[in-house]
Amino acid sequence: MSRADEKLNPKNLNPKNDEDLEMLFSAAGGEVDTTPPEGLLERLLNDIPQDVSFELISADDTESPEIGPAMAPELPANDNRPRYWLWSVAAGLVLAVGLGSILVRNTDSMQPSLQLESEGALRTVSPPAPAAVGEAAEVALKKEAMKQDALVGGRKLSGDLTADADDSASAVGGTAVGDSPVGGNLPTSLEGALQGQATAGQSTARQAPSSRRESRSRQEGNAVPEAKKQSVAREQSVPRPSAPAPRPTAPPAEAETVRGEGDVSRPEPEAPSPVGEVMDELVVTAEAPLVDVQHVQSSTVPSREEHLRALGYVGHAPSSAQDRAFEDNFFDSVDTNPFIDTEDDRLSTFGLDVDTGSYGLVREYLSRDALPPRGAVRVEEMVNYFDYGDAPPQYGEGDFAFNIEGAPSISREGGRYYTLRIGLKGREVDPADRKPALLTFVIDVSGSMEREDRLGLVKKSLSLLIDQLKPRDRMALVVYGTRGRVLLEPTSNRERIRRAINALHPEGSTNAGEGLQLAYEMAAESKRRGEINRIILCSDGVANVGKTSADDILEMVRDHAQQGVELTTVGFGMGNYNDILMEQLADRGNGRYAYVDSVREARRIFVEDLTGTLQTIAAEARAQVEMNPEIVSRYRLLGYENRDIADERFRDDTVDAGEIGAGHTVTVLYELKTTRPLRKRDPVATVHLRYASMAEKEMVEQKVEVRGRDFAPAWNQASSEFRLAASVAELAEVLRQSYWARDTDPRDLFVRLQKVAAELPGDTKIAELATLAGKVADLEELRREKREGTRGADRD
Amino acid sequence: MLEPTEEMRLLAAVAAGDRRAAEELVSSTYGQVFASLMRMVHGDRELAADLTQDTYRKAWKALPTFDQRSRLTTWLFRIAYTTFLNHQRRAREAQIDPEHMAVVVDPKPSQDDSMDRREVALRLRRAVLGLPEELRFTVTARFWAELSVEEIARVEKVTGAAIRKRLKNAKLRLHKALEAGEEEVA
Repeated sequence: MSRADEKLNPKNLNPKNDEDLEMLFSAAGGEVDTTPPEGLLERLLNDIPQDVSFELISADDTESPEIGPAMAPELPANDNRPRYWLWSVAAGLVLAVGLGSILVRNTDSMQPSLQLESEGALRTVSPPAPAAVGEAAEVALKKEAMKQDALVGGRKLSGDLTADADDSASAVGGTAVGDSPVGGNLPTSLEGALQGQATAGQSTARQAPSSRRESRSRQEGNAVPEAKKQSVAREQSVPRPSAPAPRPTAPPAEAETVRGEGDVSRPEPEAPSPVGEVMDELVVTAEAPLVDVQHVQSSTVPSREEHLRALGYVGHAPSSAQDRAFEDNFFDSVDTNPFIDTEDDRLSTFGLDVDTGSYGLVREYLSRDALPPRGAVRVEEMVNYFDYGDAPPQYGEGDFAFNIEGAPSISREGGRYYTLRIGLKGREVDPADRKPALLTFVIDVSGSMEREDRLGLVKKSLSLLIDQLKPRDRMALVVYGTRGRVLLEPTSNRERIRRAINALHPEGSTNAGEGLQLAYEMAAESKRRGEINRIILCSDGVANVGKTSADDILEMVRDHAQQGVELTTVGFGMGNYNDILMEQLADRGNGRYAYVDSVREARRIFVEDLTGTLQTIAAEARAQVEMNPEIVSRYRLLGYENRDIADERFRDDTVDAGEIGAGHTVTVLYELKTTRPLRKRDPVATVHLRYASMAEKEMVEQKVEVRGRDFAPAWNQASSEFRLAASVAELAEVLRQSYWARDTDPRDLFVRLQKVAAELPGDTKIAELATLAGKVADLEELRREKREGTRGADRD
Repeated sequence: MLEPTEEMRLLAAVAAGDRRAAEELVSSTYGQVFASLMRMVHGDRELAADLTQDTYRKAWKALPTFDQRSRLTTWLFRIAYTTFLNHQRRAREAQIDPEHMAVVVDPKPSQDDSMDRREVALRLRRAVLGLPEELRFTVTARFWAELSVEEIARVEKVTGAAIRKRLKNAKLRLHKALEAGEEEVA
């Protein structure tokens, strides 16, 4: 008897031996004749479509949020986190006074980034003035060399001194931006370079994921008038040592007017939107109207292309609108709200947001020992995930109660920095009083939903929901794989619903457009008066195969939302997860976006908070915080970057803003710098809130004064909830690699959060958060070690 | 089997609209796809051929989404595997006559101490199909499609170590399942 034959007897199979299984399979497989039958090849060849051409995606070009070997915890191209070790080295070194405004984050990285500048500049402006630009680039390089000499172990360039916390630096900053040979010129040349790359990116087919902002910036990059490019070139070649400096920061509301309601692809010429938004450090342009907040990346970037991709400038040129949102459009690119001088703009206006999707996603990444992509981290969504024990409004107080608390900042030294929390708690609705609802679930049953048992999680989630339904609630199911189809007509029969849920199984590809279309049709047909009409899309958000483009889908969602059929999106699964699309759909659909990574999370959304999920109390809710310039010298809104609304459009009710569910809390955090230590009576700010009240059936405004007495005298004397909120935001900013969190040691956050968790033992989510903070600290350390290792190797 | 570079060349040619490259792509890969399906359906040649055809039909539609992260053959196998599972499910749901199902009816185990090849093969197949999805795919890909651990890791987006772990885990389960089958006989 051969060895293989012996192995056939399971008794002889040794599970410890790797070979055995192979042996068993090969022996068992020997039974099967695997030569293809005659005629099969012919059948297959006949099936080849007439036109086989397609646009080839290269694995290198798709920047995927997926975790895998290609995306180890380390994300070099995206990384521009401060290097703490470098900081500590640099701390002892005094920066040259003339260059005081410039912080060079990492001397190693300047070389590639400068190369990039010169190349970009050449490419952009070579027809009008190649020589001048070449010169400019050379000048820039020389300056860079000078700077490197001057700044041993220094940091990245930044024209923005407001970025720097303490007073003395600020004092230098006003002049340094214009006076410094580097501060006045490099940023401009950089801008030119970046615009050049943005244009160049056009010709590169299918590159980095296109996101809402990237696609916009690409279009704008393209639309940059020639004159402007030339002026950039002039800026580069003519040093302007004593040119008056523009204000370092611009009110973001001005710069990015329409972002709050931004369309995926529609160019918005009226909004001189930043060309570069990927990073966290401010560079001031010398062009007056374009007071862009430019985010420049600095890191040990291996290749120019990766560098560009990190900057968001290698965008692919999408062949169709569908590509834009459905295929590569994974996570939005990143920028972070800067500090604003109150004198420049005392108004901070933005749409409210109760989404929590980002937290679930971040948790999922961290649970797999990977740092999430920066774009996946939205500060407000992480902050809003937690409960801060805010009191709901009393009867007659309006739809919202304001819960305001502040304290001196713990992470910013130098005094007079405060953190302010504004908790807006929505009116609660007793589950018994909730209107009956028609819930039309649109469920993605495409092949990808099979992975990691995503569909299983959807089924469990829906089963949880069934038990929460009231007798008058109705539920309907639409599924879409390759085609969309109605699985269950609206019914309140639990048994039928349960059977339909059990029958869900993965099939084919992803036709989200058709699924949604069917759901809307059905929802419209079976509409009843006085009933909540809500579509709930459950998907992992991967590519659409239907004829409908992403724009069309978003359009459809918006139209139906205006007719009262709202769309909530729930993300399931990790792999091809298309975060930005899900968020956009919910935004457009006046609904909410959540991410379900576990049954527990499903319970939270579909059971504990079902009333809030379903019963909207306020629509188009936006806030405007008016800072008092006598007290507040500078302020910074944490998060809500993509919810920005122009100050003057606060009362423009056509502006799309946030929908708030019953009992939901929106937490808004500001960092403030005051002109003097706060006194109890100081009028710090006024918070205005404007929304369409569902109860009043009209637009309502509420306002509240923030006073000095709302601030605790010391961090430690602030409430646990306050410290929780501030720490969540800081952790989010660390993950987002925000410039403003550059000095934050995640270990401190870990310790702080553990303390808060101990103080608030009733909330297990906080303990979980503390654990995650610990993980972030570990992963950061790992990343840092790895980088240092690489650097060492480079030197050798 | 196609060399990776050849695969890329063909793919690029197909993308450019070259039908002959498309034909070459099919003729050089279909044997492997058919073989893996044959092992999945255990010997039903007609069914395996039908599923192969379905696989390629789907592949043509899905080709524009192929991101080259994995080998083309791996990707094709992924589609074949899904096609097979869908077939299984449809068959189960429609409660088609077991004759037409991919699951071949278990023959009566012989009283003989050592089972014959066919019996073991069938049991093994049943045990494999009874594995949880993650393990089932890994085992199927490794042993029926004969993909390398690294390739499977790439398509599953995990590390090679994770795949080896899965295989180990699967082996224990298969062993248990086979032993259980043995006890039933006794």
